[in-house]
Amino acid sequence: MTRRGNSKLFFFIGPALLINLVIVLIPSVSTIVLSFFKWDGISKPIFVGFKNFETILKSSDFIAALSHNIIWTVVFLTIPVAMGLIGAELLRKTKWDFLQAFYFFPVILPIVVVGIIWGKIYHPIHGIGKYIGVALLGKPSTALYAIMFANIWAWWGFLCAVFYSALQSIPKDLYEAAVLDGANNWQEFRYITLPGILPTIVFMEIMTIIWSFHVFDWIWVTTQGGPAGSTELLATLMYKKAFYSYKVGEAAAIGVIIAVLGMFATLIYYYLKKQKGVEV
Amino acid sequence: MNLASKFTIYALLFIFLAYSIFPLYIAVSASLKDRRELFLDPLGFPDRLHFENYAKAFNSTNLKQAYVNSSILVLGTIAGVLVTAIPAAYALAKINFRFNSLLIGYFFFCTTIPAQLSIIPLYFMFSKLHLTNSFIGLILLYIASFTPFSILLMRSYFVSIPNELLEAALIDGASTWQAFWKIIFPVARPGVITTVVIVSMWSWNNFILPLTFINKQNLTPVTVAIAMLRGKWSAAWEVIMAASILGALPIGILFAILHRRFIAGLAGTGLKG
Repeated sequence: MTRRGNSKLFFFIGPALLINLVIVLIPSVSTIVLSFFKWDGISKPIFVGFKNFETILKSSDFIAALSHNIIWTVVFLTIPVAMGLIGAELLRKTKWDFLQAFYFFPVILPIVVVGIIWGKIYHPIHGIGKYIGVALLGKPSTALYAIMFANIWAWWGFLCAVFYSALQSIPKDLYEAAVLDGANNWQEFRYITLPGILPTIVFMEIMTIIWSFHVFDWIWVTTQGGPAGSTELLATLMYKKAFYSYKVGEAAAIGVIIAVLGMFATLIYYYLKKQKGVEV
Repeated sequence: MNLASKFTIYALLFIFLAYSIFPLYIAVSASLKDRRELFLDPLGFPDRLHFENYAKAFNSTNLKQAYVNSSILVLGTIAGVLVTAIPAAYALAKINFRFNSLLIGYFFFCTTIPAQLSIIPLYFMFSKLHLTNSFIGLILLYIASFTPFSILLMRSYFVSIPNELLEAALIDGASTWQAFWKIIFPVARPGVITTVVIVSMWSWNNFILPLTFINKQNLTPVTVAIAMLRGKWSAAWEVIMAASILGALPIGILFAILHRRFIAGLAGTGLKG
């Protein structure tokens, strides 16, 4: 490529790359660096090696948040994916794809707004709590599940649309042939739909693992991690450590752990793609 | 297909529909009740429609100012994303260079890393540069957060434009720049509109960034303003619900008009190219 071509290329990509470098890449690398320092945000940072990670991994707050995150991930890997698959398959069979927009609508609403609406739905006086006698968000044993139920409401429609869109590439005559051969609904789903969109399912499962560790808004607007830490997730714990208790180094260590877990999921994806030939 | 399984299929679709709509019904009905009725019958239909709750939500809170603030943020972000992402998407789709696929991979990687990984150093950096409590600062954060996705999305549209079209224009003596605006852009317009729609939604809905980088009440966008309402108006659920609906309304209307673009952009196969 000529020098003229190079300068043109820089003109095209430069602005996007520059803003990305300054606001995404450099701060992300800085977080990794900060995770090795003890810092309160004001005084001079002190290098402490892996001590932040040690402190974090030994603290019960972190272990609790991590286990909530794992529960969250397992639930989101299964329930909304199953709902999305069922929804997509039924939309295909009925051709009622106008319903897709209704299912998708909760996905695009601000989480702050829908979080507050679900807070009202669960409310012990102004919601279903009045009738069932339980404040679902106020009890440590139910709060996390109540938030997950609300988040699934605003999530499964997205998966349904993803799967429905992937379904469009399966040749129609496969289904027609199956029906002629006497296949029932389940067999159509099991032997045509499922293998046909398997790469998309795998991709969404991997993204689910990554996204599950980023969840913040839902918790922040409903319970802020309470009651008694029962809904604390890694992202909210990190936020509190950084901006409320000024343990910036420990917060950065949690940020690094969140990112590493995400990268681990990405590695699994590339492994599946290379080794098992799952094509995406 | 027999009648029973047909019935099951439609029943399931209907249950999904009810699940999707039910919380919205609760919010709308609560926003139209007076406080007494809301207390006595929190989930039923309103007796009389109290539209004054909406006037109260809009006028007695700082929602009006928040609307203006969010609108500025959305417009600034759209402009910034388009200016940076369109040329980048074009270059990654149509110019062959050494780091092309590496950059595509990098931008994909960016869409998978969380705001949490960069937010702490960013906060201290922006404080030093006086970019906290600043629309410019927040818009820069939004642009940086949303460009990787926008580049990948628009690239998938640019790629589908045949090279012959471009070559013909270049042979006729058009510059790359002319070729871009006269040939590529018109064909890629659906991709650009989809990007605009999704970036509007993300910048209107974002919460963690203004929560962190804005702490002056007259600068807060709608999401943060609504989240703050609960402290001040904790007993007035009818006002909170009206404010929440007003907060979601612009995005709701956008979705009602352009839901195909939302779905194609977020759930279509475009991103995986």
